[in-house]
Parts: sequence; structure tokens; C-alpha cells
Amino acid sequence: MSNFSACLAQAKQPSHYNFGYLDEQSKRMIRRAIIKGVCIPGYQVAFGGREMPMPYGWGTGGIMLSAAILGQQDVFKVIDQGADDTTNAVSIRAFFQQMCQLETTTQTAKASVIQTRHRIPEQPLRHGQIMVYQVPIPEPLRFIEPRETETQKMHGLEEYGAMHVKLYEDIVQYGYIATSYAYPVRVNHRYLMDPSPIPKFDNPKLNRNPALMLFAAGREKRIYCVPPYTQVVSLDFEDHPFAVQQWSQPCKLCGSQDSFLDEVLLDDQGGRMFVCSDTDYCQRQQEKQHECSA
Amino acid sequence: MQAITSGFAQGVADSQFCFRHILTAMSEPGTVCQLNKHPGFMPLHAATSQVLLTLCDQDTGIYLSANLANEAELAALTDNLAFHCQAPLVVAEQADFAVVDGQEEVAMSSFKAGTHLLPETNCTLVIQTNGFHHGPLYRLTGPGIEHHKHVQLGYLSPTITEHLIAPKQAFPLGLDLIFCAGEDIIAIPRTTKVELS
Repeated sequence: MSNFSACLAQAKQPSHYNFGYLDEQSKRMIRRAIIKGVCIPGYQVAFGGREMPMPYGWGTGGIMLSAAILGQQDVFKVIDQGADDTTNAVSIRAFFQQMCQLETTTQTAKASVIQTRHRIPEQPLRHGQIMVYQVPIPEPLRFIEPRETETQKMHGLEEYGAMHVKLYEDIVQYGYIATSYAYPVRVNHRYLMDPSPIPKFDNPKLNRNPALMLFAAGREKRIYCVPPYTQVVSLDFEDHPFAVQQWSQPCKLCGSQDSFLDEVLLDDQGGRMFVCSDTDYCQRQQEKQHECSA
Repeated sequence: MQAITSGFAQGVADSQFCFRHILTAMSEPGTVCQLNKHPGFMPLHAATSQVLLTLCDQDTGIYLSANLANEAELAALTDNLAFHCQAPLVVAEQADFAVVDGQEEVAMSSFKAGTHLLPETNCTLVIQTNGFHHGPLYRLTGPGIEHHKHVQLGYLSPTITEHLIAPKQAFPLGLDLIFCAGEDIIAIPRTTKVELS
């Protein structure tokens, strides 16, 4: 991987492409949609999706956002389910390294823009950072009401009872709210929003976060935003309050007890271990331990 | 035909720079952001011109208030906007971006406030004011503001002040405001609650 990155760092920006791949008019259109999204937190603004050099489902919404906001002075980080070194993250990072000739990093603290697929980094974000989320289905009501014309009206009328019914049905069937990712939230007391398929473990991080949150769905052509310090509340019931996942074991690699863990199967005898999904966080924790023990 | 003056020196980089500052201003209402990539098309302030250069094109109707300048100056400005943005000039009721003077009596209800189904179809009002160091002190709260913020927006006409404090439309409808003074901007989106301090 280091060879691959080294090759890319040397690769010049192809002269036949504009900075950031998209043409300026497309960027302006996306930029206007972002500004509108920021003004109406949680509301899905339609935008004109452009064809990107990757298939839908691989983060085309996220890279359109990144293409519209990135500048040469930015430090860019990409994670896929928390990891910096998976296919999606590596190729998107390489794409912008080539198209914008900018600095990339795997360190959450160093990054000014972080594009993410389905995680929020464990390290608290700071004021001035921008998070770019890749979203598959932006409409939280879509599986309840398939018609766009109707969901639009439901948002207009603030008619969100059906979502509570869905969570209630979970309780009836399982005894608890079984929704574990893409857990619906209310933004600034108004719009119902799908926080993208992040685990509900990450939902509390959205509330009054100092960083700017931008979401985009490429296939569905929707952009929505959460400005810094905005109230984001996960839906729940008085007698079934919102709660995040917990694990019986700490991370096998760094020993962390408060990060989101992935279960890794080790053999066919039922052997398994739990490791941090956020690779950067896990490495920092391990480095800290080495420093302490040294 | 009036003389056309130059636009951004570095079109791609400068509009990205300005966009990020406008984004910061909009997502953190009350924050002063400086746009210093263009001297401005007379008679507009530098910041006003850069907001239009960054966000406007053939898809956005621009309304220019007649109170901004005299006819000859407005004609020169119109030529420059037509050349650099290709944006059509429209009446207030159809404007996506409207540029007005802070001290004029603006009929705020004439601008698009969006609809409940499509609240993003509202107008962004760009208001030229005379500085952020005088005028009444406002207290801002809402999304993008950690606790509260105090700002001065220069001397504004009663209609604009009234709109700031008691907008006619309730969220999600309303106008998004960008105040421009020289190279500086302060944005007040519709989510921000404004009180006289």
C-alpha cells in the first residue's frame, strides 16, 4: 500500500481534468445546495447529480461533495467503516490526491475534511473540521412510504408518527428497539433525518458537535447538512430510552472499552475477537500503551 | 457597452476559497469572514461581488436594487455580472439572489420565502451595509452558535431590522441573509434567532 501511495503522490494532476474533477458549474450548483442545506438543517436538498468515475453505491454522493468543497490547502482523510486502509477509502483518497494534489492523512486530528462511509471517528471532532458522509438512502421514511411525493409532504407537515410506529413495532416484536444503524434522528426540533448507516453508537456524537456535517446521496441526488452545535436527538420512547451498543469484551488490540468494536471470526470453532472499527484510534491507543510501558 | 473589469484572478481556486468562507459564515451565523480575492465590481462592495461570483450562474436569477447606485453605475455592474456570471437579472419576486442596500426600505415580503414542500426555493438576500462595528447590538442564538453571539450589522433600515427580529415566516420558510461590508461578510440564515441586546 505504501508503494501505491508513493506512486500516487508523484502522479501529476491530469491536465485534461479540472481541479477536483468536477467542472466549475457543477461545483457551483452543489455549493448552492450545501448552503441551502446548512440553512435548513436536516432537510434534503435535491441537486443535479453528475456521473462520477465510480459506480453508485461506492460513495458518489460523498465524492461530489468533497469535489465541491476541497481546496489545495485542505488535509483530507477518508474512512470506510472506520478504517483508512480498505478499498473504498484508499481509492477515494487516491482519487483526490491526484485530482486536487492535496495532502492526505489517516490522523483524525490532522484532517480538515473527513469523508466517511458509515462511521464517525472515535476521537472528538473539533470546530472547523468538515465531515462528509456517504449516504445510500437519504429518506428515513422511505421504507415506510415508498412514494417521494408523499414523503415530501410528510416532511412538509412534520408528520413523523409513522417512524415512531416502526420503532414501536420493534419493541412489540423484540422487546427493545432493534434498529442498530441508520437510527432516525430529529434535527433542531424539526426535520427527521437519516444519519446515514452509521451505527447508533455514533448517534450521540452528532448532537451539538463542533464540526460541520454534510451528507450526500449520489444515486438519490440529495444533500443535507447539520451545522455545528445543532441539536440532534435520536427518536425514542419515555419507557424505552435511546441506548447505544455495548460489548462484553474490550478491543483485543488496544484494550479500549469505549470504542465501537467489530467482531472478527478467527476459526470455524467459534473463536472470535473484537477489535476497534476505527483503525486510527486503535493505533493511537496502542502507541500510547507502548509509550507507557517503555 | 460599459467597460468589463476582470473577475477572479484564479477562477477555480478563488471561488473555492470564497465558497468555504461563505460556508463558514452560513454554518456559524454571526462569524465575520473575509473575502479578499477580488476588489469588487463598482458600485458593489468587494464581498458582495465575490458572493455573486462564487454562487451565481445561468441558473440563478439576480435582483439588483435600484437604490444601490445611479443608472450608469448599475448598467456597468449589469454588464459585468452578465459577462462573469451569465446570470439573468430578474424582478424581486423571482430572485434567487437579491442585492439591496442596508439603509433602503426593502419590501421583504416581495422575495421568495420557499414553500413547505420546497423550502430551499427561497431567496438569499445580500445586504450591503456600512460596517460591523456600529449600529445596534444583536444577540444571536440557534444552530451553528455554541451559546450565543453578539454582532453589530451597521445602520439598517427599519424594515430590515424588523425582519431580523420578527421574520414574517416561520421556519422552514424564510430568507437567508448575507451582510456585506467591504471585504467582510456576516450571514444570518433563517434558523438564527435575533434579539436586540
